[in-house]
Amino acid sequence: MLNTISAQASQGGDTLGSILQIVYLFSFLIFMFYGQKFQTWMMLREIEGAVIRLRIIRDEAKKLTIGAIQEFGNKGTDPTPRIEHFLEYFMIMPASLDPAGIVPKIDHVVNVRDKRFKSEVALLAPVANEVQKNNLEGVLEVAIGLNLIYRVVNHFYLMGKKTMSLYVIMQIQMQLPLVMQLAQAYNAALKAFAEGQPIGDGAGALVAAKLMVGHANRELAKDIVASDIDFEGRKLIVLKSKGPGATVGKPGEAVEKIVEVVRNNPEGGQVAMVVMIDAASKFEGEKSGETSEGVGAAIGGTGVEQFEIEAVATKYGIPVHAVIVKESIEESVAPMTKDISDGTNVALARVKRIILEDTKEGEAVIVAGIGNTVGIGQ
Amino acid sequence: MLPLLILLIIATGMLTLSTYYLYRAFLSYRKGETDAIYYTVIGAIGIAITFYMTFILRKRQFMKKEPPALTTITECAKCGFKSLRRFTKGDYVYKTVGNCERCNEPMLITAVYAEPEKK
Repeated sequence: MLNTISAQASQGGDTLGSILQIVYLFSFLIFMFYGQKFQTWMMLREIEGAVIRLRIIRDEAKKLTIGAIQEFGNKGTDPTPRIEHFLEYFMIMPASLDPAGIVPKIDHVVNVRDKRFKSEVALLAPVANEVQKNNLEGVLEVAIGLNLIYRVVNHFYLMGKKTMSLYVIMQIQMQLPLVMQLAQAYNAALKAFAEGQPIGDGAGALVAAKLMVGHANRELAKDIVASDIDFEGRKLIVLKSKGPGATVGKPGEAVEKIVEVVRNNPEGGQVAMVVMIDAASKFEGEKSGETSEGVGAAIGGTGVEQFEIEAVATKYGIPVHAVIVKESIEESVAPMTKDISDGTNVALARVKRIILEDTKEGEAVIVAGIGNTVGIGQ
Repeated sequence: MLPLLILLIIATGMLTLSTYYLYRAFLSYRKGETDAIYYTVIGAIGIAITFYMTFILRKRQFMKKEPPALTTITECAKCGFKSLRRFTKGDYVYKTVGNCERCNEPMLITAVYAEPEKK
């Protein structure tokens, strides 16, 4: 039977084969001339999927934000329109054409923004206490961030669709996996702030809290608390942002204050060292929770706090040491992992070793735990 | 939708052609003709292109990540008794919660962390 089929196929096969070969060749020509268009269309499809997913994440974040605020709001008022307007809140950084004197300008803009956030939350959630208000501010910040991510990706998607330019589309398509990872991390952060769970960025604050536990503390600067601790004959002034609300405080202002107070002490003396502990980005392949030591002001943000700490340290010749806890960008905004939590114990041991090795008994040392202190008391 | 349909038609057509060429290759091989190699190569390339086209046609799925489960660790400062439980809203590190089962001293939350993801 197979021989019959093959004989029949061979007879009519030559003409059919030629036709099919031409069709085959034709399809290669199509791909040669229209291949880029197909590639563009496929990339657009991928971005469209991401835009839909981001829209869902943004809408869920909006819903969660409204729910969190309604818990502490006036029962008869619907905060939805006000929250929707606030989700597009922006901050314009000062002009840097003439950078001299820009730091106080940035500080002023950031202060105004913080004040606006506080007044907005106070208006929307009048029955919330201080910790709950700080957490709600964190929820709003994350919701604003997610809204911005969605708007930017949607902008590039629509622009790419309008222009059908491969280069416009490639700009967002190549970064899409990282953008989606960040959006999902922000989504996890939203729940963390709403429920008061510690996040990865709080690693520095947790190290300071481990030193402060069991000691009395005082409010030193805006949202910053400090404790005086005796450690192997050294006087440690340990500071962190005031928890367990979601706040970072102004550690720069606090360090400046402590240095001046110690210098103006009738007994004399000066701060011998500043040790700063913060979370920092790790490279791919590195394990989260690992620690590293270095020199310099380990603090993120706009740079104002870093500037203030560096200025006072340089003025009085105070060495500034840094201990960092490594984590990915996603882990820094997501609920704190076990690796990072365990890493803070290693970081604490390193801080103690630095103090013992580089200072003498009787000297004063500032230990500053930097980070968002949501879910971390003192 | 139209470009998707066109691509699907082309992919189906290429798969049919490739299958036909592989069949021609089989027939030529049985006859002992040298054309068998030529048909085999064309058929194999066609199938590879078809699979590539169907592979890139699928949308990259950005899966929704479930929020991680959090654990709260409470410790007694006096006797060192440790207990683990699920995180509840209101827990924070260094919050005093309840009394120790062994010595009745106040228990302190010493850690709150997310469980590692099961891979």
